[in-house]
Amino acid sequence: MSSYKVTAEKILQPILHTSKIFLVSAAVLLALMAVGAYAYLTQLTQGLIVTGLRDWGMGGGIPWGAYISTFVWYVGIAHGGIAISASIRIMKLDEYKPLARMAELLTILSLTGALITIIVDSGRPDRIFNFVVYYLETVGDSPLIWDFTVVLAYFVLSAIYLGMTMREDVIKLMSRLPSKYKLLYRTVTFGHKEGEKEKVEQIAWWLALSLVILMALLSGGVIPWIFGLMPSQAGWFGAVQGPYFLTGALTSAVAGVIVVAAIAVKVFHWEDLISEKVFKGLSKMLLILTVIYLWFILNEHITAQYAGPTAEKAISDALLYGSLSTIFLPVLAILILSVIFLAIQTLRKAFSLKSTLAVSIILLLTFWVKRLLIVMPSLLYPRLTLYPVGSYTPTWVEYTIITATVSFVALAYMIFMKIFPIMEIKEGE
Amino acid sequence: MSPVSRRNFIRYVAAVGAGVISVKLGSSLMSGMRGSERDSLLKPGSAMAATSAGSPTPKYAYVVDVGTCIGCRKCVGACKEENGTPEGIFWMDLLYPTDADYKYLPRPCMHCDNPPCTKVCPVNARYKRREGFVLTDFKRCIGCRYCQVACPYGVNYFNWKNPRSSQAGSSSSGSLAEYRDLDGRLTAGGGHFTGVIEKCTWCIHRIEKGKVPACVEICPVKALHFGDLNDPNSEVSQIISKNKYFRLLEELGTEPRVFYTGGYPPKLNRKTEK
Repeated sequence: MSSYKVTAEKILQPILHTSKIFLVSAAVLLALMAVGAYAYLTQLTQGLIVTGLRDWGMGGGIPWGAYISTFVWYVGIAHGGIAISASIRIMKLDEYKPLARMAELLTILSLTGALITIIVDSGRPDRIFNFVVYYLETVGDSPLIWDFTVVLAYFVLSAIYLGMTMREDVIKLMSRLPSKYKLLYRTVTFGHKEGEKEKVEQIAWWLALSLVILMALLSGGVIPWIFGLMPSQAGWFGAVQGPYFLTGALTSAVAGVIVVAAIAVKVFHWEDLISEKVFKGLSKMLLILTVIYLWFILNEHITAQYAGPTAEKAISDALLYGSLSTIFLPVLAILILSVIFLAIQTLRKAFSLKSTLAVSIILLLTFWVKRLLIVMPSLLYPRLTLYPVGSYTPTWVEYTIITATVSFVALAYMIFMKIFPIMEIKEGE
Repeated sequence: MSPVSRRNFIRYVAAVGAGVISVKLGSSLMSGMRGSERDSLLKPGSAMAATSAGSPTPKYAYVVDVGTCIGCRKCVGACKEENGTPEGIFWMDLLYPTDADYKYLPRPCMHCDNPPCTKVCPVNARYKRREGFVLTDFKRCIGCRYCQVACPYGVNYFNWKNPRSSQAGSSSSGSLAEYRDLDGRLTAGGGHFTGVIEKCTWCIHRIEKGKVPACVEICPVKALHFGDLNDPNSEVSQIISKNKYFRLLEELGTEPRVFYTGGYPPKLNRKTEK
């Protein structure tokens, strides 16, 4: 058995003490959210004209851009987050257990980010409930509705999962938790019975199993199907999109979990709770996944280059040598350099949490750019070559709104950690 | 409630739920058409129904003779005038192929028989009527632009800004009366709306009155034709049966209803960037 102890003192530390770091970062995040809110107000009053998006074809732009990329990015992190947490439970990886709830929370908040981005991208957010109103008419055909279904199902299942697995800890700590949040604690522990733990564990195990199966089917299916089922645009159609996206989702999620866990360790001095061994394991996972992701990139380009139809080859060419190479080649370089760094770190058995954190942050950002490189090229280079090649530069509105959603996720994460125990208590062995 | 009966209850609910969903999914996949498509037949006795000699449902098609087209863009202008489309938006547009045996290629909406745009629409705002029209319900569209992404022909236009502030210059702009489909859905006229998708309607409001689309009517060299394929004597049926024709990107299986005659398909080779 593992030797770590998660004592009440350790867990209560972020809840009972408000550090200067917390206040400063909360202020910064709130300011970023305010700027984003202003940008969204501008977009609401003037229309999506304030973004860099335009009609493709004679319009010379692309109708989907940074918002949709951000959506895909969030959903990737979310699916991978719950996959990590559920695997820890199913395979009883006790040492990784302190990460479980962190990953769950990351999932729920990323899904929220994804839903916000979809609403932001919509031209008529006032009609967003048409998704629900016409659900039965469209669920048979529209990949976007499949997506909506999946994101919602995921949200509900992971929220139940998080809530259920947290009850016991809240009950244990109840007397020592701040009384101003009593109502919240009562709500999450509603109907708690002595000895419910065993039943809860059973249900959570099955929930975890279904979430993992759903994740593989859905992140390897529904999200990539938005693109993979569209032969209309060159560069998207094909069966590779499923495993390709799934790998991307898992890679960005592992990077995301490393980021939140490493920051928590640094800020709260939880070195003894999340051991170096755990981080080493995570960075090994990150290494393997990034290598697989690179292998998918190779597959994609060799297929387009070797004997690809001209429309497909044009897109690969644009990425490798053409107008998009200034974005694609740096992405490729970062992925390869990350692999080299992580490989050396693993082989030499030396480990630096700071550099691993830095690599994870860089990979998270790189994966966002890579998502943009999935959405953008196909729309810039229409299969119907009677149209000119398009162009797209996101505006400040898009950048600030996306930054605001990330700030929201980060702030919500911090606030959750201020109110609820972020790890399962495990005292003594 | 004992645990056993609770479990049975859950089973029962799950079984009924799964049944309902699978029946719904199955029927929608098998019929291959959306609900509104089935109930939106033309009003009996309307001009459109009358033009279809002997056939209960007309099958409309659009024929472009690229060999005759002189590139005068009158069709583009007539479309703007008729529909009052906002600045920079051309439901009917003229493309200039560089690798073809003709110079101009007029491009209305293809009104496909297997339209990718209707399939992907998450709210069924884009739908196909039996006579062939692919229409947009302006009051239902949420502006996600998936139809625009799924369409290989680039015929969709999004109102990125308030279109009323940039209406085409003509005095008749925006004055087109609302055209509502049988189930009351606004699909043409009645102005333009911020944040929704629009495209060529084949002037459905004119067809219903027995007229042809504005672009077809104005063409000075008779390069554009519109009519019912179910009527063997119609102009379009005659042209299609007597001439070679092509359709754009036919290999995608969209079954477009715009037929091009008088030339070979344009070569679609994107010059490689090096």
